Amino acid sequence: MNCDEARTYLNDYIDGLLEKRREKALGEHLRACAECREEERALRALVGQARGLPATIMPDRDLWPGIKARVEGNLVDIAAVRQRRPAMLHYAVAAAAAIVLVVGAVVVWLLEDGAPADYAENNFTHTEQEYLGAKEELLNALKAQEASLSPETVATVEANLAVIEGAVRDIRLALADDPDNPHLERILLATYRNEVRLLHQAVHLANES
Amino acid sequence: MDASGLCSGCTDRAEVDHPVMAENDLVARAQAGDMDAFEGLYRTHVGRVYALCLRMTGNPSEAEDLTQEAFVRVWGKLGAFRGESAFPSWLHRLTVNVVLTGLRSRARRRARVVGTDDLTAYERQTRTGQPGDRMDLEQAIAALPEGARRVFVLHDVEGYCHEDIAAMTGLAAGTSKAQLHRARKLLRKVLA
Repeated sequence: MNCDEARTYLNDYIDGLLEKRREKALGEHLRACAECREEERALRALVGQARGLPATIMPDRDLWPGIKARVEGNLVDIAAVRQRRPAMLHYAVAAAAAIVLVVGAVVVWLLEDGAPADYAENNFTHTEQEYLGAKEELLNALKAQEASLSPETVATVEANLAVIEGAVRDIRLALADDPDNPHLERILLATYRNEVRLLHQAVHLANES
Repeated sequence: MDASGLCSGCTDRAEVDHPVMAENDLVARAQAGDMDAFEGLYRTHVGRVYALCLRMTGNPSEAEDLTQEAFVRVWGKLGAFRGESAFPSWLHRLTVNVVLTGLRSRARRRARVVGTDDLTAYERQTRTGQPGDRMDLEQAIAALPEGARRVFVLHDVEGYCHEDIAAMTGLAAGTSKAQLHRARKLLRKVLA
């Protein structure tokens, strides 16, 4: 084995992934070649350093309050839901659907016609992350320009957001009990979509003011 | 693979590093809706979860968001945890999935690439400190191209094998291996 071949296989060698015959040949090459031995040493040192990194790093701030707020928003009474699943599930779905109807007629269309357009290509979690990311960006943009809006507009936007957040909580509650229910997932995505539209309109208004 | 989703050859660092205390009790109470118990689980594991999120994303703010998301997801899925694997392993795997989902989502949303695919760009990005500053491994990992960083952290830091990484990321095992070799090459270059 020459040096080029040896370097090609060095990573697999130190990871123990080489077949025996090649491992033996590389071992022989390393015994005879100081440069490749130095390569091996450096590679092993890097991997050893990576394995020795601390297992824990504490975040700069306490994340618990945010987690608790989100979890309690979903909570209501998880234990009660688990014990009284059918009745509570129907209640949650009905409540969520009712609030979603209040929020926007487009949801009815989504419920009848199926999922949001991008849902078919991606799974629920991906799409949810996209909505949440878009929501975060719009919220930041809105916060930066809030002063441009009248207090009445801000109040209206906040009231609508509260209604939507309520719907999200109810649907998440139902999803906690029935995690892979595609209808609930669609309702939730449709609700997110409404939230993003509302925020987008508010940011647009602020930009025009 | 065992119940934690790890193959028998993988090092289960989540388990190795975690002292088994009254965790089962905390899990059972949290499953029953006890918020104090859930906070206890959070306090016990946040450092581990945040470290994984931080190294996988290379971004503290994003790591905080994903850490929160992971624990919210844990709360939602606690009912499905049956104890077939140890709680730390289950949590670790769930966190990996949350981070991978976040990374995919970010990539699509922003459609931007920082640095990345060529060595020159990587070196430029990783040498922005004062002259004479020596980059440490954490900084160098954070500055890796995303694909290489993801695989390096999962393999060399967390101890997953290529087959498991392939199963988690959707990459082919050969691609995982290629990304790992690339990451090591880049790291050695900037740490030299």
